[in-house]
Amino acid sequence: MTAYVLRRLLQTVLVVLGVSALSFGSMFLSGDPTMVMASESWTRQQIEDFRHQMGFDRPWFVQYIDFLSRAARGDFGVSLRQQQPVSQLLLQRLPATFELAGAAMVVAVGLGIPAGVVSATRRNTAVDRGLMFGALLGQSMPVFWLGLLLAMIFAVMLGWFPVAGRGGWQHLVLPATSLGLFSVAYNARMTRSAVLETLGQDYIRTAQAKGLSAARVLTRHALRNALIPIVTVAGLQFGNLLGGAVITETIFAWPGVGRLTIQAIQGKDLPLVQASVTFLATVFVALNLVIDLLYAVLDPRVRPR
Amino acid sequence: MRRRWPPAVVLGALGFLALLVLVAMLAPVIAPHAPGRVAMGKRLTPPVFSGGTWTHPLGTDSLGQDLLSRTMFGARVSLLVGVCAVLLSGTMGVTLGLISGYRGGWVDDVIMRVAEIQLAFPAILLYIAAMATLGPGLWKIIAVIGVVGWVSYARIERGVVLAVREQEYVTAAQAMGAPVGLILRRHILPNTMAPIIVVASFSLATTVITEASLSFLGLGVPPSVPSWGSLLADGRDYLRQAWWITTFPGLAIMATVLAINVIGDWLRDVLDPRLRI
Amino acid sequence: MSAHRNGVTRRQFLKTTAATAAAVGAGLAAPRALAWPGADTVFAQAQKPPTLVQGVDPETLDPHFGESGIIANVLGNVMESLIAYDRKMRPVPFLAESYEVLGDKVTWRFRLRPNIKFQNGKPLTAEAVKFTIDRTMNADLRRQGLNDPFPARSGVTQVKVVNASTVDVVLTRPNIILPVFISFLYIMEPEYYSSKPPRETAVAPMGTGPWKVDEWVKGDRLTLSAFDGYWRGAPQVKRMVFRPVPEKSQRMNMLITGEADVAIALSPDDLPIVERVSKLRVSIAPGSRRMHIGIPTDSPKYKDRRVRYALSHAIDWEALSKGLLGRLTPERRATVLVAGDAWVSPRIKPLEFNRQRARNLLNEAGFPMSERIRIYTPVGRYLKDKETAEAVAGQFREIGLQAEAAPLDWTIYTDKMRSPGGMDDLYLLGLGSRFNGPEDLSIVTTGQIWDQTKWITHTPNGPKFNTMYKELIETIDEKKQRDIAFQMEQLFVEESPWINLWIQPGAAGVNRRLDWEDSGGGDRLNLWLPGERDVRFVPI
Repeated sequence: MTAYVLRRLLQTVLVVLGVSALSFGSMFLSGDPTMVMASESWTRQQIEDFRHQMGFDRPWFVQYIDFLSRAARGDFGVSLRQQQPVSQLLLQRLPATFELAGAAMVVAVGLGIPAGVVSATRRNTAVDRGLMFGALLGQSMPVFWLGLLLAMIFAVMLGWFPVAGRGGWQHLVLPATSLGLFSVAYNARMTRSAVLETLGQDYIRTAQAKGLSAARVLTRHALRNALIPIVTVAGLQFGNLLGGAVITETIFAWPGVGRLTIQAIQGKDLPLVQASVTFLATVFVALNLVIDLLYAVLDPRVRPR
Repeated sequence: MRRRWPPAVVLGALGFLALLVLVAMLAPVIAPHAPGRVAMGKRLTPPVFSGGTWTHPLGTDSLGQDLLSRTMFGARVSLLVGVCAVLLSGTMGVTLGLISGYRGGWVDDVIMRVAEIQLAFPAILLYIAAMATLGPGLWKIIAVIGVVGWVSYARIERGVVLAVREQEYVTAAQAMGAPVGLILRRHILPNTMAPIIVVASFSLATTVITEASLSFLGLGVPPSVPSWGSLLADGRDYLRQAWWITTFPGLAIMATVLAINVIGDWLRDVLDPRLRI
Repeated sequence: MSAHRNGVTRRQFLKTTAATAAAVGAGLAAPRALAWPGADTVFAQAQKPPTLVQGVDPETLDPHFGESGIIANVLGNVMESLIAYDRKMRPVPFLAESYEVLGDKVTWRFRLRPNIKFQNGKPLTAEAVKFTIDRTMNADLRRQGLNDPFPARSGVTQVKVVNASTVDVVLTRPNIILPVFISFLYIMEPEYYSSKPPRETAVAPMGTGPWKVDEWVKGDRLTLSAFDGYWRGAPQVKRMVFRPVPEKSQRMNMLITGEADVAIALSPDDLPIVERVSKLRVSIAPGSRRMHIGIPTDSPKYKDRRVRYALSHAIDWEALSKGLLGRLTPERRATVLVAGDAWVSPRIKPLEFNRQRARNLLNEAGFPMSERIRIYTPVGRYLKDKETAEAVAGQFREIGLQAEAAPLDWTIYTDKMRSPGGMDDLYLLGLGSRFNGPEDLSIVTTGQIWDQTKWITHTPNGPKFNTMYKELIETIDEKKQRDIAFQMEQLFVEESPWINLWIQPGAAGVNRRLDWEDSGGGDRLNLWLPGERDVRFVPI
């Protein structure tokens, strides 16, 4: 077990290094970063001063090593446009994005899994077909369209929730729903399959033959085993939700990291873009690691020899 | 062996998609107006069933352009992006997966590590970063979505290759001295197609939505190209004044993706029940 | 299945569920009773500070590190300058009581109003003015990203403190446009700004304005609170909130639900929506953006003056403006090069809509009608930008030209402007104006990136215009200034490198509980204009 953990940790470190290299390198994809960030009205001298100040005149591997060593200390540089340390900007906005993604997860799991279970236990009935079709529908809508629709109906027409912004729990409902609906659908379908597969197993039939009530069969045996793949996939979704939050944050004026990244891209604030992307990817990787380790703990079959 | 017809829903979805492809291909011929035909005097006219006329059955947008025609042409773009991106990812992924699975060794390791690194980024972040750097463009977005998507294909392909390559007919062929290319093409590749097709169908669905999302953020197709995503983006400031500009492209996306998902589900059930979702 | 063994019967379960659902539904369906910040009850209104929404947060609140309309909308209420603009876009002495240019023509003397305090209690002195201008030239801060255009624009060499309330700004050459540049300069409190690094000044400004920054949750809300020691008197509205909401339709939604009180930069299509809601009203202001289509005179297509005249004659201005701007259509101007009635030469007449004349001129000039014409336009940068370019292209097609609009993302558009060849075909642009003739004219002199017509170097009148400009900015006598300006406009109109469209108006949606009006210059959230009252709540 320890060997597995160590190996995964090592892999994660390698992946994070790769991530940092990729996001560092992407800065140079659009040509000379100095010219990208420079303002129109700068004089030649100012441009050269800036180039030197940012260290863009050094060879690229020197810049990369510097970037890595500073990143390891949590120093991602300073945003040119906002004059704030980038790490501070990110940390300020991260809780909001986590709150949103978390709430969306609650929606995705809280609605999706029960729906899938119900569907599985009522297989091929109208309920099952209806739920599954609804799930397919949910997976077919672009997030932003859904978001604007929800805002129009529930915030303006009905007045049940505020239109945009962050505040109390009422502010969370619409953004979390529009972000999470895609995952609700996915979870429902996947849960249904997992439960069905488990229900078809021998030990279930044995339990039923023994005279256990349907409910007990379900909870005691089927769900527990179906839980493993469900948990894994649900956990992975958090990462996707983090990514999808970008659009939801824009529509609902949610002060999260996703919107910060978009604005940084539009404002050509390269240090911020770089750090943002690295940061988010690292969070994602860390999450994957946790999931994997959890998975290994839950399911002994998975642990490699 | 009895052949069962696919369920009615699937037939319906297939029919819809066939119709869509037909409309997309024939759009230049059957569209009532040129999609880019500006008529400033006819801005924001409603659809025919809501107070408009039959000249513009689905209404017009803020430049007086006919929405029906634009939606038809939008089908071309969205389908083009979807199909090309899937072909690109599929080709890249299958090739790399094939090599990875067959060769094994360090080649396999390297390819799989790169896959892991790429998977470390949430896909949408990759798209945004790439398109922001490159700027909007039809072929750029196809390239970006296509290149990013290779991983799922590669992993599936590799898995199947690993299973198949130990089969007797393969070892026999190797023993007989058949060239690697032939073995790959004749024996291994055909057996891997089933799961690949399933993956392809689902990623086609997500690609249509991804293109729409990126165009919405202004990071997709350039402003002059009518894709369903850019139509939605065009209409977002007119949600109250002219609901039709967003509704019809939105419905089109929904219906198309739904149809693809329905077919994908069925394909999966038929071809490879092992693949849950 | 045993009904009782598991504790809850199916019937009981269903009953409880139904009851819970009913209760939740009832609770949710009574929104007016809930007191979250969005509720639109009279109770909430009376307590709630005015909320103003714009598309994005200011990037920074340190005026030397960034300059944009978004920043000005916030900072303009917190910091002030020596000269300010009133509702009619006329410059008035503000923090300065008076100013004059001295006999040597390069020294401008500003006399400060007495008894003005900064928000931290320190007095406004000449030292503060000197500090502010010196800071724009601070090399150390420059390396950290400081980027204020004042030194380059004004040509300032030094600032001298004459006494506590008098300061001299000395330039390298005479420049009558200095007051315009001074109006952009927010006066800073020296002790505060010399003791705090950019990291802090970027989020907490210190000025003499009526409100101070209370709290800033980036991306969420920026709260201003009243500065009771303000020199024009304590503001009535004690708190205000600025919120960044990227989606335009959501800003409108917030106006409708009452979550926002003011939303600026509305389009004419939004006005009917606002007017349908009884608690909202529309506020229209004349604008300051000079919308035009630039013609690159270095292109072989457009070298001939007659072609350029033809392009203007081909445009049905009435139909175009009504179609695009509807109710916001401003009065037609002969030229949009210069804004402000005082500065426009009365001798200039617009090129009237006349398709036949257009065709004749094109014929005479031997213009190849099959030649493709593109109108580059940014998308979403100006009100109806893409639509305008499309509409103009459409009108060109009516006289047989192969014209089409070429929409570009704003960043790509500006990249193109900065590229070696610049704009190689027609381009739509909206240049801001401070209603100062010479400053407006400066935009089409040599070396200005915003002028892609290259007319100075490629047309007969160009060089003369440039020479006259150099003379103009040194001319102190106002009558003479006007004369020269009028002559320059004449030169410009003769060459017609611009197709004149309009000066873009601004429209805002306002909740009736506020008596605020959008002001000249359009789309500016200035809450206490010079010479007027501050924003107030309308008594119910």
